[in-house]
Amino acid sequence: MNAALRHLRYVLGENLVTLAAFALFVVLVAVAVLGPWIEPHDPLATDAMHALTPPSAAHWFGTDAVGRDILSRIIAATRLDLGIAFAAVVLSFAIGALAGLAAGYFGGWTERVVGRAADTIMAFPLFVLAMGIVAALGNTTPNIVYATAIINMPLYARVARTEASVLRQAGFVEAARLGGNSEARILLAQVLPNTMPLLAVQMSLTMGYAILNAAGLSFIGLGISPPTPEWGIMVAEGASNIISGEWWVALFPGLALMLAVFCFNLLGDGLRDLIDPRRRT
Amino acid sequence: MSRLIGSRLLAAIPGVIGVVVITFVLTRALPGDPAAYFAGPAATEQAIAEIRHSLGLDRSLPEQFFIYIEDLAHGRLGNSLSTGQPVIEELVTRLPASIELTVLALLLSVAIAVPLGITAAQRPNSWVDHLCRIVSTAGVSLPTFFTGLLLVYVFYYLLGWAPAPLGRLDLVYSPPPARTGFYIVDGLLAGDGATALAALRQIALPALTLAIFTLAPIARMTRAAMLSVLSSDFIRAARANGLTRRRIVYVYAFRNAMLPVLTTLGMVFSFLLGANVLVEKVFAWPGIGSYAIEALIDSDYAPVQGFVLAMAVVYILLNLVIDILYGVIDPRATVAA
Amino acid sequence: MSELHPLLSISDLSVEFRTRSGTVRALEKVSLDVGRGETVALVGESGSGKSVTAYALLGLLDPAARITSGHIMFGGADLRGLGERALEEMRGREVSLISQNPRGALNPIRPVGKQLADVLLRHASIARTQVQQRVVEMLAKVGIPDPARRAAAYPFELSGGMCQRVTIALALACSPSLLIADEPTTGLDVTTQAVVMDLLAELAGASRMATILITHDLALAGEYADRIVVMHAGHVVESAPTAELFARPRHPYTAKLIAATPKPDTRLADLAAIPGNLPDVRRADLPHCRYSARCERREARCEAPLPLVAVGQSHMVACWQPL
Repeated sequence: MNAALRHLRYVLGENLVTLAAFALFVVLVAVAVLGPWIEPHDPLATDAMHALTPPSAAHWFGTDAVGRDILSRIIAATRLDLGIAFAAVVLSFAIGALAGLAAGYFGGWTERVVGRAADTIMAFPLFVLAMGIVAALGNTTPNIVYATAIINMPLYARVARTEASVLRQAGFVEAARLGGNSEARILLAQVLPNTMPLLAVQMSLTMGYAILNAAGLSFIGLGISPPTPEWGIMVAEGASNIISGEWWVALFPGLALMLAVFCFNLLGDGLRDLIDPRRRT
Repeated sequence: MSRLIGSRLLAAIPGVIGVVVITFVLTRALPGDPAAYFAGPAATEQAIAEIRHSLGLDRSLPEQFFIYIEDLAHGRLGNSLSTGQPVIEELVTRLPASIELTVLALLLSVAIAVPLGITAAQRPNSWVDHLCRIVSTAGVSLPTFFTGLLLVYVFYYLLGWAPAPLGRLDLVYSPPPARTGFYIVDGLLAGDGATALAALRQIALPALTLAIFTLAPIARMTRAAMLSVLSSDFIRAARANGLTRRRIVYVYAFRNAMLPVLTTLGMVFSFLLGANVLVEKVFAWPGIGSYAIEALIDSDYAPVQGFVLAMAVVYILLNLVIDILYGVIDPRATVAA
Repeated sequence: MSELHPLLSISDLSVEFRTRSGTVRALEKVSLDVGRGETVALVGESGSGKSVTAYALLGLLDPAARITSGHIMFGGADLRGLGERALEEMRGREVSLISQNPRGALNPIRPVGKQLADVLLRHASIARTQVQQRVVEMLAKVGIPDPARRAAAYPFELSGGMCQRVTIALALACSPSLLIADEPTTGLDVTTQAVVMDLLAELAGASRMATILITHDLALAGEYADRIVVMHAGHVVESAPTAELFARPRHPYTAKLIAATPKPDTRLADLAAIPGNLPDVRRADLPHCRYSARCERREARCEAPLPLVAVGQSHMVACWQPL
């Protein structure tokens, strides 16, 4: 365990950018977890007298059109946005990666069916498909998660399939087979762990994309409804204000959004560089 | 060449089938009562029953599927609840607006990203290279709607350079006679420079917003592809034969590098069409994206489905174009097909 | 020296590479002359610096490489001092290169005829209308059957041997005075090897073109070269006319190389391997004689800096105790 920690520290030290992204990630998770305890005001409390005030000592990020404190809302939104994205990524990974592994490992019909399914999803512009799914299933938060998960599954399936089809001929897999292990057991115990690094990179990158997706859907009015604080909705609420010059209503949630996505993208890039420098772009 | 196009068209068919199946599932196989969705929240029991019958929802699923395909073949996409008009008509009227925006954004994006990537690849670790890398990393993180709003704030509110984000043309102007549906082109065709210019001014910010979004992956891929190609054996051999730097970079290296970039464009288009919807909302652009958004807010169901189908078809066509272009540039692809 | 004014004269060339694990001194004080119309073979193990010498000549070294000393006199000018523009003019017109991966040396998405036309239009003052004709002539000259039709072919449609012929056509299109052939036959099967080498010899002879034949195959060198220069770990260790090199090798390494080269009447058991490996040229403490670690004739005086000693007419050896 000590050796692993030391190695992690060495590896992170070599890549300052990845380290910075990792630090930011920790901060984001902390804000999400500690949300209710660090919010300076109640995110849902309106105050018509102090509507649309610019950033000040009392309200660091200003107030919105009904007087709510923007900073508190942003902190509260962190929990929701990260939560949605995380749930979507986990779901996406669970179904997509397993389907892909099975496709790559067993080949034949499994590969054809999974491939066909993935191609069909990818035949749509992904955000448009997400819109269609949420519209079809209903305008609720869980459906945003499902829609985001579905459109990201093909990506995992593709990565997993490629790795599995290479690994199925690997020496240690042959050895496990000769040892009498069932195929399913080999898939889960041998092949999956070996594809985890690549899949972990994918998960980090998808987190960024899932956050953007959820925010985009909320921006156009799907999924989350006011007064729930969520970054996308807050930007939408601030959109009409920006034209009249009250920039802070949309800017701060937008920056929070950017920062979160940036963090996950950098993290994913850094992880990818660590795992396989050849894939660096 | 025709063999290439033919084979690519054939390859696109499974995609079309898949799209039709999925949209069928989305429209007909909804949890709850699809008829109620289509009839709208204010409908009576009678109205819902009528809708159910007219949509064939009281038949078996396979039967419904064939009815659906027949409807599609005849361009029947249902009617909008709020306007009562056929969805297909509205889509066709609004499509040129979306296409004009998307195409312009793409052209702008490519015009900036490709030279940036090429220059960055030729001068590793120069300021151009660093700029390219920053653009690539930051560009994918920027939420399109946020960028759009920022641009509006800076260029409209602060600087006053851009017109108000209120659609394709300022109210003072009327649209030019419709030949292509693209206001700029139509304006020029009609010899009406003023209208064409006004249209250009309106489309500038939304196109820029979209372009910024797609800059990143294109620049990144161009740089990577050029770097890879420039270090390959045949480039070294070409240099050994004394070909000029210009010819080596632009004719030998660039054309080879375009192949992976073209492949990336497929994915870029997916993001582009999605981002299109968001930009249309921010700039009140009367395209099919805002049509769908308005319908969503009204719980008006048929337009949304029509929109998804239309976007999917546009996407398939765009991918087809890329496939054909790829085959034109790379003769090896024709043989493999 | 075979002539008073050799076509190419490399003297004391040293090349370094900066790498993450240190500075690699790939070439150290390499000297080599090539006369007009002469075929000189540059022979040595992989990693001995043969290709580096060629690329240094052409100015096509990796960006991490630096020429730290020496001169490359060609046609009266020092190539080291020339700018990129001048070098571009020279490459393909005065000096050409063919290398060991013929298909890899061709642009995969451009018809071979067009690639040939590119080179012709670049260097030769030839009218655009004449180019196609010249292309077909060149392809016929290198022995490609049905050249008019083949000119429209892509590299993936041609065999390895054909691709090599095309690269030869590219190299010879503008009748250079010097051709560098870097392992031209390594990627080909044996029959094609002989055919390609004969073609090269014939074309070189017809136009009095000098050739530097880079190879690890001493037998090949023996058959086609007028003189052989033996390299080891970035040094020139021996240089002599072919017949004399085989008859009386003076450097222990050369002798071992000859012993390790199969001849028609050698038995497998009689072939002798050369003990040891090439020294790690990243080490800062390399001995002056980089062969000394593997040499059984080594003595105390082998520690001293190496001279290049003349041991016969145009026969040089870098050894304190030549055989």
